[in-house]
Amino acid sequence: MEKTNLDQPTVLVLSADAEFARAVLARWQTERNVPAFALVSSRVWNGSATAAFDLAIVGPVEDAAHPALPALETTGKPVICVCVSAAAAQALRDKMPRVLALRSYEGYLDALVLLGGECLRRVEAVKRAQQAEHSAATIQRQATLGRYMVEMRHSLNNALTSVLGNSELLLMEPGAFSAPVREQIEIIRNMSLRMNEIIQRFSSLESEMKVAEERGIRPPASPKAFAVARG
Amino acid sequence: MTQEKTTDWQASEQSAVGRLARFFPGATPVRIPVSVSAGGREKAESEATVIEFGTPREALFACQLPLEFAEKVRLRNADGSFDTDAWVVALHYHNGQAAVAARFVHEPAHWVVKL
Repeated sequence: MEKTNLDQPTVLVLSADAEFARAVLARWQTERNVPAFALVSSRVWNGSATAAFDLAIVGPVEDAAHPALPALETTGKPVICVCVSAAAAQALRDKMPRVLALRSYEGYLDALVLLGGECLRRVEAVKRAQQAEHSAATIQRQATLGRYMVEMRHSLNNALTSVLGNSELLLMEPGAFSAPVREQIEIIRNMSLRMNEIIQRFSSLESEMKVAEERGIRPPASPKAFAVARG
Repeated sequence: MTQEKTTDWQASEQSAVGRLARFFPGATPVRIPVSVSAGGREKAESEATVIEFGTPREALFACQLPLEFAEKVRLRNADGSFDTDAWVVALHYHNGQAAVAARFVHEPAHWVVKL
C-alpha cells in the first residue's frame, strides 16, 4: 500500500524560476492550513518520486511541451500548471485534460492557493475513503469467519457429545481398565467438558451481541473486547 | 567521511531531509559534518550541520539558515578537505524543519558518492 500522509500533505512546487517558487510559498504561508512544501528545481526533477507528494504545482510554463508534465500526469495525483499565456493554457487543456491549467494573470496566486487547497481536501477525502474501505474489508473478513464458526458450532457440538458420551461409558465399567488408562479417559472427558463450556460461551456471546444490536448498542470490534465490556 | 548503512534510510525517512531525499532516487545515506554558509551575501552567516544524503551531484542536509531557492551556498568540513560551492536546487519545509538539496557548482574533491 502506498505510503500516505494524512497529518500534513506535501505540495511539490516544480519550477526553474526561483521567484515563482518563492511567491507560491509566501502566498500559501498566509493561509490557516499550510501544507509541507517541497520546492524542487525542474532542472533536477527526474519524475521518479511519485509517492513523495500529494499535489504538484508546475510553473511558469510557456507551452504544453514541458518535460515534467507527462510523468506528473501519470501519477494520478492532482497537478496544477501555471501557464504564462492563455494559448499555452488552452494547448495544455487539449493535450493533458487531467492537468489543471491556470493562466498567470494578475492575482493568480489567490486562485492557485484556493484551487490547491481544494485539491488537497479532495486528496484527504479520497485517502480517508480508502482507509474506510480497507477497514470495511477487514471487518467483512472477520464477519465471514464468525459466521463460519457459528455454522460449525452444531457440528462440533455433535462430535463433542459423542466423545464425551463414549468416555463416560468407558468410565462406567469398573475394573475394565488399569488405573493409568482410566486416568487418560478421565482427561479426555474433562477436556471434552471444557470444550463444551467454550462452545456454550460462544453461544451466549452471540446471543448477547444480538441483544446489544437490537438495543442499538454498537458491539466492540472483537469478541474479546465484548467479553471485557460486559465484565 | 563515513557512509551509513542503508537500514538507516527508513529511520530518517520521516525527517525533513529524508522526505526531501525521496525526490532524489539515487540519494545515499551519508553522515558528513560540515558548515554551511550562504555564499551570495555580504555578511554570510554560517551554521554547522550534517550532510545526511548525497548523490553524485548534490548534498542534502537540514539547515536553519534562511536559504532561498537558487541561492548559492558554501559547504566546508572542519579540515577543509571538502570545500565547495553549490546551488540550492530543492527545499523541503515540514513541521518547522527545513531541508536543503544543493547541487555542486564543480565536482568536489573527496566526495564519497560516485556515479
